[in-house]
Amino acid sequence: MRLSLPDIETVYRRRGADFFRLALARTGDVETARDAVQEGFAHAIRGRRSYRGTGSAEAWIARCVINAAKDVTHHQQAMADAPTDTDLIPTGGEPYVAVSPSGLDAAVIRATVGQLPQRQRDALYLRFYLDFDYAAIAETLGIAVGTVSATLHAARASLSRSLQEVQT
Amino acid sequence: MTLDMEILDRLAPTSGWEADWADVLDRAGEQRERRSPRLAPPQRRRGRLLLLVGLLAAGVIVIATPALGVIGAIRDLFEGTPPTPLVQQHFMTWNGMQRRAKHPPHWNQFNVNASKAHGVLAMRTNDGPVYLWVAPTRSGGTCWLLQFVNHKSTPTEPIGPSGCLGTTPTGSSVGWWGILPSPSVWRSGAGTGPNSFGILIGEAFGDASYVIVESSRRPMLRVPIVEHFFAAVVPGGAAIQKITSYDSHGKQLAESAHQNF
Repeated sequence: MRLSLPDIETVYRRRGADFFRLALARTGDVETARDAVQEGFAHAIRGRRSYRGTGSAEAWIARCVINAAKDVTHHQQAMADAPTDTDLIPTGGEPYVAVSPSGLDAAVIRATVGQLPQRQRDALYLRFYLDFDYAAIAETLGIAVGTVSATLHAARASLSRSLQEVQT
Repeated sequence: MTLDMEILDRLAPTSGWEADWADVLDRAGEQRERRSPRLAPPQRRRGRLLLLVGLLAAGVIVIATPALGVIGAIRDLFEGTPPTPLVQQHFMTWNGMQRRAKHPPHWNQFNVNASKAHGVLAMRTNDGPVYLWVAPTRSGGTCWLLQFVNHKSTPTEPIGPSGCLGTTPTGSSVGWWGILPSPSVWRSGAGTGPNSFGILIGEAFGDASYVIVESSRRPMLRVPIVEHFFAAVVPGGAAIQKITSYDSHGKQLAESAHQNF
């Protein structure tokens, strides 16, 4: 089965916002995320003849978007390497940090999610934002289907522990 | 919705997405005539960006968000235009001090334009909200002051510490102050004391987009910069070890070393 340009356009129009959320969760920046989605779909168009048709087209495109997200943030590696995660643990009082509206969630939630290994994060993003089944997640991430369940379980357990720490 | 789902939902909201298939085709090197007529022109995105820039320039984008906002909603929205008379009056006291000429010569630089005072950031503490107001000086600098709203620890002092920089530094630099709530007044300076929290306020210049705060209590805190200013509420007794400014691409710009609250 070949992937045609209209096929990709259909996915873009139907699931573009979901892919955007995936990219936004990964990059933490709206413009970068938008860029990643655009580049990911552009890459899918350019490489559509390499799609073998053996799996989900959305999963194949999701891999393109994730790779694009990696690429567009490559020049921001310094920021990624820097200790940029917010760590807001109340001690004594109930501290708050002033942030601009655009940084509202990223400033706090990213710290919690950011503690997870990248694969666990991607699995969560694919499951939640794109509603992928285990097979599609496995295909996107290049892992065995049997690994997906354990990966998601570990991610949720770790997330739950982190949240408990934040709240205590 | 489970908690982890709620977190993911907040981590990446759908707002901000705008489909632009023509742009995808352009990036892919496809013929532009394949563009769907339903699409908005590229200028649309630019227009929205300009609108956002306009809103930012027009005044005050201020949100106080709880550190535990994972669970909670936005609790406070601070719109600082126009400032209260109390705030304007306080800024004007800098000019009064200047006229009395009892202060060092460099204080003459602090010719504050109080009519242009506006809010920049808001923070919520256990004691109540804290607002950061700024006003430009006529020499190109900026003065700031903190306002404590309904604070039980400082009932008689709604206006707190303030400071001025006579001119805006041309290079990249970062500086900060530690503000402590004491039983009856707010004060700035060093020392840990019995405070449950302190307020960090600082300025970062150049193309600084955010700062990373390293403290003795928790290693890292990322704080965005609004109009050169950053502010955060930190645990009492925390020793701020280093504050480093970065641009929007993550390039390190400047750092300010060890001080204590």
